[in-house]
This record gives sequence, structure tokens and C-alpha cells, in this order.
Amino acid sequence: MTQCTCRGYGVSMLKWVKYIGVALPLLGIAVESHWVNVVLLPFLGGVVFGLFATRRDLLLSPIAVLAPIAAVLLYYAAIDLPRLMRFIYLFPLFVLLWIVFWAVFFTLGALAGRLLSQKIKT
Amino acid sequence: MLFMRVIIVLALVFIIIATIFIPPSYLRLADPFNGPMKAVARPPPPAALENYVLVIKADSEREAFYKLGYAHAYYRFFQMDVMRRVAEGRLAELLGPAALETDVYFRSRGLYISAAKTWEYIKANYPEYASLVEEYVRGVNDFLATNPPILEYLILGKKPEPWRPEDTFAINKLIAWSLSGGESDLTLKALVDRAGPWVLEVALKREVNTPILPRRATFSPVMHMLGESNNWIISPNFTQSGAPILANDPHLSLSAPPIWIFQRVEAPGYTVIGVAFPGTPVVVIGTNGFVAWGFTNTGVDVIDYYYYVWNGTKYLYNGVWLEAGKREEVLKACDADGRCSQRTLVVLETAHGPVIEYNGERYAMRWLGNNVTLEALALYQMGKARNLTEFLNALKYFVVPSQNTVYADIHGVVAYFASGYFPIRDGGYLPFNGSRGEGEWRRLVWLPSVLNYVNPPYLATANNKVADANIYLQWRWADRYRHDRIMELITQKIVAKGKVSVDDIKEIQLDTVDISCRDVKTLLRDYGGTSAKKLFDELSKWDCVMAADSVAAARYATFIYTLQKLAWGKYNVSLTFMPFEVTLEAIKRGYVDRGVVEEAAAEALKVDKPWGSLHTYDIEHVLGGVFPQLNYKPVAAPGSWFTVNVAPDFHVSHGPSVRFIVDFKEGVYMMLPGGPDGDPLSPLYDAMYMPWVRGEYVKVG
Repeated sequence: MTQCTCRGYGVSMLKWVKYIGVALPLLGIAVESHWVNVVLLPFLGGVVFGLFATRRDLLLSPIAVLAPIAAVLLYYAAIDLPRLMRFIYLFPLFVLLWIVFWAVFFTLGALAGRLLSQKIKT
Repeated sequence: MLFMRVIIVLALVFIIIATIFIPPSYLRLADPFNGPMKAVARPPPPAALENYVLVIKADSEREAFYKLGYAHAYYRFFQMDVMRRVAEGRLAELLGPAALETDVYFRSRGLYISAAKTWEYIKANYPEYASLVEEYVRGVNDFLATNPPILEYLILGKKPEPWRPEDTFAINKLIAWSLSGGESDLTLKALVDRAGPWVLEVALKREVNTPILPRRATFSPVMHMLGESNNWIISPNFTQSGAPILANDPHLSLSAPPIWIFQRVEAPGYTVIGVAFPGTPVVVIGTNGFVAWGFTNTGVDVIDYYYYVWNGTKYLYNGVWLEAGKREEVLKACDADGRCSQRTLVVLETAHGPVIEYNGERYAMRWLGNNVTLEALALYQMGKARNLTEFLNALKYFVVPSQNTVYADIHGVVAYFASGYFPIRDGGYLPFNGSRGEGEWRRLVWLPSVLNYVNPPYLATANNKVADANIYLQWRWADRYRHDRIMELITQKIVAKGKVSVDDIKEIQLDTVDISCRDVKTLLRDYGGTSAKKLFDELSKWDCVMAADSVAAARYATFIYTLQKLAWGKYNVSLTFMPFEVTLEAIKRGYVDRGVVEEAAAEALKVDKPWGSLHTYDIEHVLGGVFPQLNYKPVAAPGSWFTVNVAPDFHVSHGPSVRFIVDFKEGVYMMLPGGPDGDPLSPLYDAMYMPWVRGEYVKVG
């Protein structure tokens, strides 16, 4: 799958780095800025993901972003599942908006990352 | 490769455009960590809600007040904040420019100034009570210091500001203002200007209204100087338990969360259970096991308006030109994206008070509450009273709004007092010519010294006339129907069974018979045509129960509504401004065209839906206009304007704000129209709403 074209790294290591990209939006838990949490971190996460992604991975990037989204939901579910359910019931549009923003900016980041990786290769 | 470059350039351009053009509020709402979703991670409660009651147990009063502050803020801080901001004219800072008009209204009236003066006075003269208030405030602020994730602030992108003692007193002033009659004098003047002086003739002499007190009240000219709801009391002779019963269901705005929080405070020397306004620590309606008390509004007129001859900012007062004082108010409005704007409002102050504008004319407003007033202290001391004497001593501090105060105690005493103070002056129902020195307040009368009844067999109040009196008290007494129905039901039960039980009282509070139907049938018979005859025949077969599934009830309510609209709508006043008894009298005397009876009957006969499909509870959250999911679910409402279980208008947002019953042997029962917890994500947010709709109660003491 992933072609190891980067000098000095094994296939498994690159995969691992790719997953860091997926987890990057979760850093927002320590950040106050809405812009950083909703735009920048997903985009940067996408860039990291794209840098080490194959063409097929790239196609999967809108789905890959579901991983950090699931992590956030699990985090809140662990704190108080009934309140999370009620939040989703009362404010589905807020949740949708969040998922759309993360998906869009992560995917755009992944595309940019992929392009960057091609540039590095050449 | 080129394709990829194009894609990446487009992506970057998109990011830049999105960053510029996505409104900050969208980013906030979508932020899973610092947006509204953060509210899911709420810290555990500081005090338990047992049976929907906030229970505070403490080793001292100071500790109890601290814990109350913390718990009120935990459960209701957003509501507290909105109330203080309304009172202080700072709502637009939180809710945006749409709230600016409200801010102009309250800032110009200066409630926040009298709240601050009251606090200064309490600090100087009642340091012990002041220290309790300070503890309460410390509790609120300690909660805020934990940086709690409160849903509404996360939606609005605002941060809660610290609480001050003045905020607590500002809420007291707001409640007092809302029960003091507002601009009734000015509205009446506008109505008289448009309709003619007959309005005064009909409105001021309403002999048909039943007085609460059976005797005429005389306010002596040499009296010593001193500085819509239902309630009733039944003496032990007529109760099944042999102990007195007190019942109260104050009719206030219904909101999500409810305007009250039900609390029980247990501390040495201070154990009290009842309802309090979040933001204020003291129980307003409640019991301490020794005494119980409840309120309905008397509505006695304690606001006057004065007009003057003006010359710029100078006004003529008693033959002398005086320069009006100037108060500069800076109003701030902040939108959802955090952009703020400012506006300066200059408020003139005359010898009578702040100058407001009404229909383009300037009036100075004199309101009894715009002084140092000590209702909070009165309520605190009522909570400590052990008998009638101590209760009356506490009642002396209660200034405004005047309340029909019902009292019962463990010793078997029941009593009624019209609480508060009343300014003696000539007239008061229309604005005064301030330039001529009309309408000066000569002195204040402590109303309980005149309007009282100790140990009646039973007595009810429903905002109806307090007493026939030798002076003007007010003219907008509520129609007599709720009062008369309560008295009728108590009498019926006593005649039938000899004694009244708590279950009987619950039944009375939930009664939906509209006895105005008796007057309406007479009206239809005497002044109607064909449609009126048809409606009369139909209503004659009807039991006058305003049931949600009744088509006759829907037709009846439509008739009343249309009649009021036809009678008063053309004069551009609110349909509820004029009591129905006045409408009936005006029609009988021919001041209002009798053709309105036929017209209203024809309109009513067009209705073929059950009452509940037209008449629903619409109880809203402050943000409910934008986020309707925060409102309570609209459901069919029984009752009407005139039923004991009141439900005015077609979209009901005003009604029994708590149902409260005390029987000193049987216990304390209550129900609130909503949940005890103001957090919309809490399972208790609307926990009592449907039980309240169904007429259920919980035993809380």
C-alpha cells in the first residue's frame, strides 16, 4: 500500500504519522480559539494526513475525519451520555456544522498535504 | 500534477475566503471544545434537588446563604443574569441590539439606581442581613470562578459577569415594577382622549366587583405617617385536618425555566420552604412550619405621572422654572459575532422623578419603588416569624408592590392584610399637571393598618377589589369571577361535607369553570340578534367548563375576545387593558355600540374546533425565538381569562407560576410550570411541566 519513498522511515512508522494527522484536531481541547479548533487544526491534521497518505487514503480522508469526531463524542459520552444525547437532540445543526467544517477543512488539508508530498518526491 | 496544484491553490483560497466570510458565530457554534457542546461536561451539582426542591442544609445562616448563592447560580445563572440585565437596562450587551428598546425603557426609569441605594441603606442599617446577602453573592461568584460551561453563554459567545449585591436588589425592583401597574395612567388618558370621559365614569365606579374585605375601608385624614393571582385561607374550624389551610397560585409570566425556584433551607434559627426568585436568596411565598404566607397582587396605584410646561430642559414647577437634572446613560449592544456598538441616552430628572416619553409626550414618573425599600428584609424576617405579631413586624418593611397577603399559623390563626404602603394624594388614575403642583404625595399609609381581616372563617383574593374605600386605591381590579368562584367552591364544599381537605383545595386550584358565562348569557339575551340568540341557546346547554376538548368553550372564548376587540380595539389599547366588567357596563349603558354583541356572537359561531386546538401553553426560553427547541412543548390548555386555573389569551404565557398549598397537619404541596433546573441539557429542565399541565402536585414538606 503505502510506498516507502521517504528516506529512513519504515512503512509502519509512516502509517503511525498519518494517524497523528487524524488525531491533530483533538488538540483543540486545550485551545480557546474557535477558528483554531474549527478551521486550522482540522486543516493541519489533513495536511499531515495527506503528506503520508496514498492516493486511496486521500479518497478516504472525509471518512478518516470521522475518527476524531467519534473520539470527541466518546469523550463527552464518557462524561455524561444522557446530556450528550440531549445536546444532539436539541442542537443537531450545531453537531452537523461541526462535522461539516471538520470534514471540509481536513479534506482540503489532506489534498494540500498530498500535493506537498508529491513535491517532496519530485 | 497541474491538476493537484490547481486543487491545492483552490483549497488555500477556500480556506482564506472561509476564514474571512464564515461568521465567527458559526465557528463558535461548531466548535466541539469551546462551543455549546462544552456544556455537556457540566460539573456535579453542589446541592441536591429532592422531589424538585433545592435543599440547602447548613450549620449557620451565613453558610446557608452562601450555599444558596452557589446553588442558584449552578441551576439558574443565565436566568438570573437576564433578570438583572433587564432591571439594569443592560440586556442588549448580552442579547444584542434587539434588546435595546427594553434597555432604554428600564435604564430611563432608573430601577438600578434605587436598587443601589437600597443596598447602601441595608449595609448601613442592617449589617447582619447585609452580611447574609454578601455571603449569597460570594456563593454565586465562587460558582462563576469555576468557569462553568453554561449552555446559553457558549451559544452567545459571552462570558458571565460577576454578581453584585445590587444585582439582587435590582431583581427585587424589577418584580416590584412589573406588579405596580406600569403606564396604566397614561394608557387611560390616551383612551379617555380618544373615547371620551364616559370611560372614567364606567371604569372608576365598578360596584359589581366583589371586595375582598366585607366592610368599607376608611383612610383617616389624620392617620399617622409611615415613612393577578389567587390565594385563600381557611380557618381550622372548616378544615378536615383541624389546622388552617393556606393556598396560593400567583399568576406571573410562564417561562422556561420557571420564574421561581422551590427551595428548602435548613439552618439553625432559619428553616423555611417555599419559592424564591433566582438571584435573590429569600423565600417569597412559603412556610417555616410555624407560619405560612402567600401573595396576590393588589395592584393599588403607587405610580403617578406628571406633565409640565417645558422650555428646553427647564420645567415649570409650582410657578418656578427649574432646570431638570441630567443623567447620561451609555447603552451598549453586542451582536452574536461580538461586535459592539454604543448609544448615549440622556434622561432628565424632575422633582417627581425620571422623565420618560409616552406617545411623543414627556412625563415624569414617580413610583413608590424608586426609593430605598426593604421587601427583601421583610421576606427574610417573615421566614423567621413564629406568630402573627412577629409576622406583622416583618410586614412593616414591605413597601412595594402591595400584596394581598394571606397568613396562617400553627396556632390556628388565619389572617389577611393588604401589605405595602400607599401614597395619599388626590386622584392618581390620570397624569397630573406637575407645573400646577397637582398630585403631590401628602403622606404614606401602611396599608395593613386599614386593610386587614384577622380570623375570617375563610377568605379568598384574586386581584379583585380589596375594599370599597373612601379614597382612590386603583381602578383596574381584576374581574370578580375568579374570586367569586373560589368562594363559591369553598362554600359548596363546606355545605356538602362540613370540612375542606387538601384534595378539595387542589380541586379548586385546578377549576376551569368560567362563571363569567352567567353575565355573558344575560348580555346575549338582552342585546343580541339572531346569532346572539343561537349562541345563547348553545351556551345554555353548556356547563361553562373551559375544557380543552370543548367546542362550546372555544366559541365562548372567541366571543369574549372578539367583544373586547370590538369594544376597545379601535381606541388602540391592549384588549386586556379594560376589565371585562367595564366592557359589560359600557355596553349596557350604550357607551359601546350594542351591535358588537351580535357581531362577536356571529364570529364565535364560526368556530368549530375544540378549545385546546386554539388555546395552548406557549412557554418560552429567552433564546426560544431563535432556538425554539429550548421552549417547552406547546400543549392544549384548559381554562380561560376568568377561571381559577387561569390561562389567558390564546397562546398562554401567563398563569399559575406555582401551585402551593400548606396544611399545618397534612403537609406542604406544590407544583411549578417547568423544571427546577434551568440547564436545557438537564433531564430536570422541564420535569414538572407536564405534571403541572395535568394538575399534579408533589408533597414537599
